[in-house]
Order: sequence, then structure tokens, then C-alpha cells
Amino acid sequence: MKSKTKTLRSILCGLLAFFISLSLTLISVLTVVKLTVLNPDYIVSVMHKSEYSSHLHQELKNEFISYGAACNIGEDFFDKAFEEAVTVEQIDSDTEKSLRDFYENQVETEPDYTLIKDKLFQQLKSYASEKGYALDSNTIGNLDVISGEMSELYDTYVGTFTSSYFKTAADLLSRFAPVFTYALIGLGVFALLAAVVIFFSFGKLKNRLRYIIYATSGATLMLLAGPAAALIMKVGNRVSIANASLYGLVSGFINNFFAALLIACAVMAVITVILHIIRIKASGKKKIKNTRQ
Amino acid sequence: MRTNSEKNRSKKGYRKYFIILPVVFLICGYILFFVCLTPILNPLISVYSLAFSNTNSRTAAESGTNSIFNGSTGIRNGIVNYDEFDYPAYGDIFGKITVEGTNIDCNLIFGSNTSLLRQGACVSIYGHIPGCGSGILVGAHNNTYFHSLPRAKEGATVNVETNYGSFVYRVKETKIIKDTDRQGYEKQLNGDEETLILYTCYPVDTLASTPDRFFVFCELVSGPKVNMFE
Repeated sequence: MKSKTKTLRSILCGLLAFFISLSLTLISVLTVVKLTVLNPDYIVSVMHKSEYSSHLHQELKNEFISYGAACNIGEDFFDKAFEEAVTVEQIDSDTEKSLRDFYENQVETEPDYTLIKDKLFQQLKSYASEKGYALDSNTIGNLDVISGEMSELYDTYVGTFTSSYFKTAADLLSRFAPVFTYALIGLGVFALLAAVVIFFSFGKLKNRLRYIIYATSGATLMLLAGPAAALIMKVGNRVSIANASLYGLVSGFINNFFAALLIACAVMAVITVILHIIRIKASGKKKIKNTRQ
Repeated sequence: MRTNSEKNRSKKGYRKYFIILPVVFLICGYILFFVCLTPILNPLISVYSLAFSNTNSRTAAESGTNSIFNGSTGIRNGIVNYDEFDYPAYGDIFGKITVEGTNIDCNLIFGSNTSLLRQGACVSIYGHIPGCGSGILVGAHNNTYFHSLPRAKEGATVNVETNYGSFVYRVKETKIIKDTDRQGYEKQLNGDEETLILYTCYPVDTLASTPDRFFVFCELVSGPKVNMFE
């Protein structure tokens, strides 16, 4: 083949290798997004790892104590209430439900916390008796109002993911989630076609693999650079949230997402190494064949 | 058939391009991403600077208190310049307050939140500090420090010791105001006369949600003036 044609072929295959590299990077990123950001199991596992419910339990207790101080309810009442009525397990279960509802686009903007209200009401009645208050209709009425306001306070904190903003976000998510699948398929087809063109541009396997290896190495570097920089600069830890519970959840969500991208980078690196080994073996076989001849 | 030197040149070329090309792909790839994202980059940068900063749950200190009050200074009149004393910061215990005819005898804390209200009477940051010639808004819980506030009668003395002076007020008026009714105390809070405004949730002895507030308005009897200007 003439030198000019070889150069042209090299440039074309180099360009195709670049686009394959871009496609592989985007495929990896989209796959990671599907497995993490768009996956309810992911955020639930982050919620457990960051001890979101424990932190929220403590924050909620402080708010209840402050509210109770205005109603003549001492701190001792809440020590018991937060062991029996408003537990970490209850918060965990309610939060997990609201998160899964979000991903299924079934956000309940007015969740039912009657169970919490009833438990608090019963505990308030016992507390009032202990403190010597007569349980007349006036007191019972007041306690009913207090337990209702406490359950609303519970909803304000635990029902973060049932707000109207999240309902709108859930609508958008359900509308655009299928786009990820189509994008994945489109990018996969494009990468495959480009690889086929490279494949038929060369006679020898080692030359075909050369450009594919360039593509996978480029994808590895692209998947490494961004997430590594984000993790080193601790972008996830700089999120501006004052509540320890929500801060832990969001920073864990972001950091684990970048870590997942690094895992994708490692997978791409392994693929590059495997192709490289195949290329070496293909060169080795050719050498032995030539020697025997 | 290829010569050995041609094969070596080919190997070197592969090794060279194996390093150079992926780096070129990396740089070109990121340039392409940025170019494609340019239309939405500026709003994203604004959102980033709002959503990410060095101030968050990890850096925000627990609302603990720091005491800058070391007992009465004995300064009961005259002028105190702002640079002659430690102006209280948020969370600082900077004085004590007692109210005649009640059991009120507690710390005076600058700033107000859930944690600080458990430690004393809190001076709202929406008002001033004693000596500044305007309204001073002080609140505390009705089941702790200000439980006996409704017993304060007109003419009762209120003593306020701070880290920069000793102040005496006299109860002028008491009122019960709805918690949402700011007009009930706004005039005194933003007025030109120094008024100490004490308040707590009302009623105090019933187990009930408290939609009302018990206010005690006190006029200045004696104390130094704080000069906040150069």
C-alpha cells in the first residue's frame, strides 16, 4: 500500500478510535448513572451507610424538645417518647418508603402518620397523669392538638422526600429515564460500527487491535481524570447542608457515585490489558509462523 | 517481508502512540464535553457555588456557649465605647438577668436557637443589646427560665448585669399577644427609646400548645450608654 494511503488510513482510524473512546466513556458513565443515581437500592444503601436515620432521630428529638418547652412538656417525656414512639427504625422505614415512592413516581405529598400521632397521644396522656393534670375534656383536647402538631413536625423532617419539589422531580425522572437506555443503545451501535470499520481497514489482528487499544486507553483516562479530581478535591464533602443527617446522605451519595465511576475506569483498564495481551499473543504466533517458514 | 529495523520502528511507534494518543483523546474529549455544555455551564457554575462551599454540617460548630461574663463591672452610668469591651458574639453568655417578684435569675445569652434556649434567656439578634438606646428582645422557655415571668408586676425592678455595664429597668406594662402578631411589640423593638422586652410562651402552667406570648415591657432606669460609632 502506498505511503499516502497508509497515512490516510492511520488518520481515519485514529479519528474513529477517538470517537470509540468517547462512546465507551459515555456508555460507562450512563451505565454507572443507571446503576446508582437512577437506582433506588443505591440511595437506600447510602442512607444506611451514612446513618441518616440515627442522625435525623437526634435532630428530631431536639426539635421536639424545643416545641415541648413551649407546651410545658419536659425533656424527660421525649427521652421515653423517642425510645418507644419515634424510633430510629420507624424513621428508617418511613424514609425508605418515601425514597422508593420517588423512584416509582408515586410520591405521597400528604403521608399518613396517624400511627405516630396515636402513640404520642397515649404517651402524653400518661405523662399528664404522672404530672398530676386532670384528664378532663379540655386537657384531652389540648393533648390531641399537641400530638397532631408533633406528628406534623415529624412529617416536616422525615417527609423531606415527599415535598412537592420531589414530586415534580419524580415526574421528570420517569419521563427522561428511558432516554438513558436509548442513548446507551445508540452509543453502543456507533462504537460497534466504528470498530467494524477499523477491523476491515487492516489485515492483521494486531493492527486492528492497536486502535481499539488506543480507544480503550483513552476511555480509561477520561473515566479516571474527572472522578479522581472530584474525590481528591473532596467535592462531595463541600456540599452546603447544615443538618448532619442530610449532609451525610448527600455527601455519601456524591462520593460513592464518583467511586463507582472509578470502578468503571478500572474495568476499562482491565479490558485494555486483556486486548493488549491478545495483541502480544497475536504478534507472538505470527513470529513463530514466520520462523517455521 | 519486513526487516528487523522496520519491525522495531513499528514497535516503538506503537509504544509511543500508546502513551500519546490516549492523552490526546483525554484532552480532546474533555474540551468537547465543555464545548457541548457551554450553554448550560454558567447557570451550573452559579448553582455549584450556592450548593457547594466550605460551610456545612462538618464545619458548623455545635451551638455551644462561650462565657464572656465575669461578674458585675460596676459601671452603672457614663459612656462605654464599642471598642472598650468584648461585643458579644452569637452563643456568648454575656450577662445575667433577674426580675423582682419572680424566680428569674439566669444567664443572658446573645443569639437564640434550640440549643441556646436550654441554657438561659436569649437576646434576639433582631434587636439590640442593653445600652444601645433601642429595643432589646429577650426570650426564654416558659417551663424553665421564664416560668415565673407572668408574676412580674408593673413597677418591678429588672436587673441586667453585662460584661460591659450594669443596667436597671422598671416594668412599665405587661401584655398577652398572639405569637403571629409582630405589631404588638414592633414599635418598642424598633423605637428610639431603650426598652427591654421580655417574653415567653403563654399560658405557662397548662399542658397545651401555646398560641400566645406573655410580654413584659420595661423602661430604662439607669445604665451606661454604649457608643457604637467612632
